Order: sequence, then C-alpha cells, then structure tokens
Amino acid sequence: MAIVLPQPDWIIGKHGLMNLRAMRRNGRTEIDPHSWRIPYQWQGGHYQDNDDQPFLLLINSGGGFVEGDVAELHATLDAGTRTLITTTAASKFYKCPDGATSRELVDIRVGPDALLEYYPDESIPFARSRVERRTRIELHDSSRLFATDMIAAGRIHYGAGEAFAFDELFSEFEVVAKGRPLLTDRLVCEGEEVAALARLWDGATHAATVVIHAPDLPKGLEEEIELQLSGPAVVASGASRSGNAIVCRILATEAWACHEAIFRCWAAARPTLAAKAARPIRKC
Amino acid sequence: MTTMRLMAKRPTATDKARAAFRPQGNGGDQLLALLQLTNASFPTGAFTHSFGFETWIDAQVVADAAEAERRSRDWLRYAIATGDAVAVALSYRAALDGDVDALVALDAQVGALKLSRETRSASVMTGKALLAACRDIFELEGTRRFEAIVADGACEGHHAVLYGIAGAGLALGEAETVTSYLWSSIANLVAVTQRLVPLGQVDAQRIVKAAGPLIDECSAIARSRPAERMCSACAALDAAAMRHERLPTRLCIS
Repeated sequence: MAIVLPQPDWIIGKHGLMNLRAMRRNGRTEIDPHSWRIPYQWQGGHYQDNDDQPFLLLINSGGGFVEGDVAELHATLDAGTRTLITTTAASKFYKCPDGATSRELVDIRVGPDALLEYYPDESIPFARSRVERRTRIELHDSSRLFATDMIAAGRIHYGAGEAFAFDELFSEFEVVAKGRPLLTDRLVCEGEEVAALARLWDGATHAATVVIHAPDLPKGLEEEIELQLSGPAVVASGASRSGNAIVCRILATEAWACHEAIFRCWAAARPTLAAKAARPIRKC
Repeated sequence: MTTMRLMAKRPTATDKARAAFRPQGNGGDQLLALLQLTNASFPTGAFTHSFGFETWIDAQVVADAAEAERRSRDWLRYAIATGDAVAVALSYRAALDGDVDALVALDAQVGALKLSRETRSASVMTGKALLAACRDIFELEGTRRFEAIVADGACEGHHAVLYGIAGAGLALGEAETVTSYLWSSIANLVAVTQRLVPLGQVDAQRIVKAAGPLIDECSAIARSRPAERMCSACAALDAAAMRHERLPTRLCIS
C-alpha cells in the first residue's frame, strides 16, 4: 500500500492524517493503522456482527472543521477482506471568515474480492463556510461496495434555520473501476449557485448518494431498492443500474428521513453484498 | 545534417492527430454549417430524450408552461452550462490540439457525471448518431478518427464531446460551438416538453427566445470552467431520470 506522509508545512492539530490497511489475519479481517496524526484518533475496530468483519469508527477529536482544517484518510483493503468504515458523528464545517477552505479527503482502495461498506454520517456546511470534500473509492472488478455520501444544507434547525448559507462547496464522490471513473457525483457551487440548490433539490435540505457495486448483483435489485427509498419527508428518490453498479439519489427535508432511506437501501443490498442482514450501527 | 532534416520532417503522432482533427469546414459558408448542425431535423435523435422531465410531467410536478420554462432554464444553467457545455469547449480545444488522450479522458468524465443509466445512454446514443451524421454528411476526418477510437472501446462517444470535435472540424469558432450547443439543448428540451404539457408553438418559441441572455451567460461559464469542476447540481432531476426507467407509460427514451 502507498502510505501518505505528512508534509513539513502541515500544522499539527490542523491537518489530520490516517493511513490504514485492512488484511486477512487470524481468520478474520484486521485493520492496522500505519500512521495517524491528531485530530484523528485510533481506537481500533470492533466486530459488531460477531463475525470476521471489523467496524471502524473514525474518530476526529476536533469536533469539526475550523477554517483551514484538513483531514485525510487513506485506506487500502487487501484482497478478500471485509471492512465497514463509519464516523462517530456528522462532519461539521464551521464558518471561514478569512476566506480559507476546510478540506476533508478520503481515498480508499478496495482489493479483489474485498468488501467495503463506507457509511459515514453527513457533512454539514455551516453558514459562511468554504468546504472541499473529496471521496475517492477505487475498486477491482470483483470488489463489493456499499458507499454513501450525504450532505446537509446547513444547520437547518438552528435558530430560524440556516439552510444553504455556506459560501462555497466543492463536493466530489468518485468511484473508480478499471482505472476509469465509474461515477463522479460532483457538486461545485458558490454565490447564486448555492441559493439555487433549494430549487434544484426540490425543497429538500439533505441530499444523499448511494453506490452499490458487486460482480453478482441480482436482476431487479435496483427496483427493490427504489421501492424502499420512498418514505416520510423524502421528497425525491430514485435508483438506477448500469452493469454491476447501482446508484441511488435521495433528497429529504429531514436528516433522519435521509438516514432511514439509506438504511433501507443498505438492508435491501447487504444480503447480496455481505451475505448477512443490515443492522443499526452502534456508535457509543 | 541530412539525417537531422529527415527526422525533423517526420510527423509525430500528435502532428497526425492534429491533421486528422484539423478544421475542414463544409466547403462553404460556416453559418450554413452551423445552421445545419443545429437543425432539429439533423439526425441525432435528440427529440426523443427528456432527461427525466417526462417523470416530472407524469407526476404533474411540471404541468404548465411557466413551470416547464423555469425548470428548463435551471437545467440549462445548473446542469448543462457546468457540465456538458464545458465538455464541448474542452473537446473543441483538444481536437484542435490533436490531443486524443484528453478527448478520451474527457469522454470518460462526461459519462461518469451522469448518474442515471438513461441519461448516460441518451448521451451516448445521440453522440453516436452525431458521429455517424458528421461522417456521412460532412465527411469530417476528425469524427472519423474519433469513431475508430470509440470502436476500439477506448471511450463511449458522448454527444457533448462529439459536438466539440464537430465544431472544430467544421471550422466554427469556439464561442459559436458552445453557444449553439446550449441553444440546441434548450430548444430540443422545450420541443420535447411541448409534446407532453399544454404548450403552444408560440409559447415554446417564446421560451427559447427568452433564454437568449441566459445562453450567453451559460456560454461564458462553460468556456471558463476547467474539467475538474464539471458538475450538475440538478439532484432532483437525477432522481426523476432514475425513476423514468420504470415509468409505466412513456413517450421519451429518457
């Protein structure tokens, strides 16, 4: 695996970094932290399904991204491993009054026959924040993937509401297979483009994208998933399949509605991806 | 000395590519070429694609001319101007540079940005139709060369990329190419919408005419945006395009 090393100009506490490797060992998947810098904390994985698959809760003790903060996660999942990666809480991006950008970068390589379930909480860009988020997942043909990406419009229940009040957002969720982009869900907006999102999301304040990939997805799974996506406070949703990949869009007016729709999607896909049922992930 | 002269004369792969994608024109007035390329009857099949609008119309989210216009304008500004039209400008430049690698990479990016299967296949279907039309009608060497690259499986052949190559091959200006692409996009979408909602011919043409200043604005955005910032912000339309795949009754392919 390629380990990313910190640069000399990275300020300790401002530029978090974690390098992970998941490998088969002791009859199960184990995750080794090759290096980490605060505010990322390493507490190990735990086996919530009581089987060979570790659940990793990424802990960023910073509590949120202050202007100019950066967090980088680099992970390599060896062939045949099974790993679930989630976060302990939403990624909160605070205001950037001096015009600097806060950045969250995730780069995960999934080996042959390996399973990645990447299920982080949402990102919340606060009013006046400037945010860059990049998530890149590289797959092998035989890799299995359930990955989610969810963005909130802001602190929608804070005071009188604070939706679509951020200054700039670059959000990229990319899945690569065979060296080519399989999907690039990218949102780049500033100025009047931010305000337009209220219309372009049909009044929703939370948007999620889910990507499912496996070499043996059963016929009609996308239809089953689409039926599961609808629900209270979900204003628009859909699922589409191209080859071995299913992509879902979910737009909701409440965070819980978006979370529940994602969970229903996971519940429909997990038996195929991991040969077991979905379960609420325990985070404390 | 003789050897050096010979070496200097030998064309490189880039020189050959530049020659293939060189502006050929249509043998006459460039305006006529542009009018022909953007004519509704030019055989690309664009009039069969709603890109998800048919789902909105089926659900009565779009039920009248005013809503159709508002959403068409948003689609042009926040999906096409920041997405496909950027690809038109970039492929136009890459074609003139003979940069085949850039064209292939751009084509992959254009496809990856389309999240729904039907929107993606619409882009490829119209792209391949444009490719064939440019080959058979204008006999452009650049589109012929790109057709071979698509046939090799190096890329899919998306409409926006092909349109930029065609614009360069027809010796159109970059601004004309991008602006005409944007105009065709909204004119085609309005024509499709016209078949599905109560919208007369005059109202439809009024919508296209009123989009003029917006098209200019979109053209400026598209020509100044780099490939790594190409995007579509129309998330609700993505969901509608996905749902279109299972719409019980439909007139459009996408």
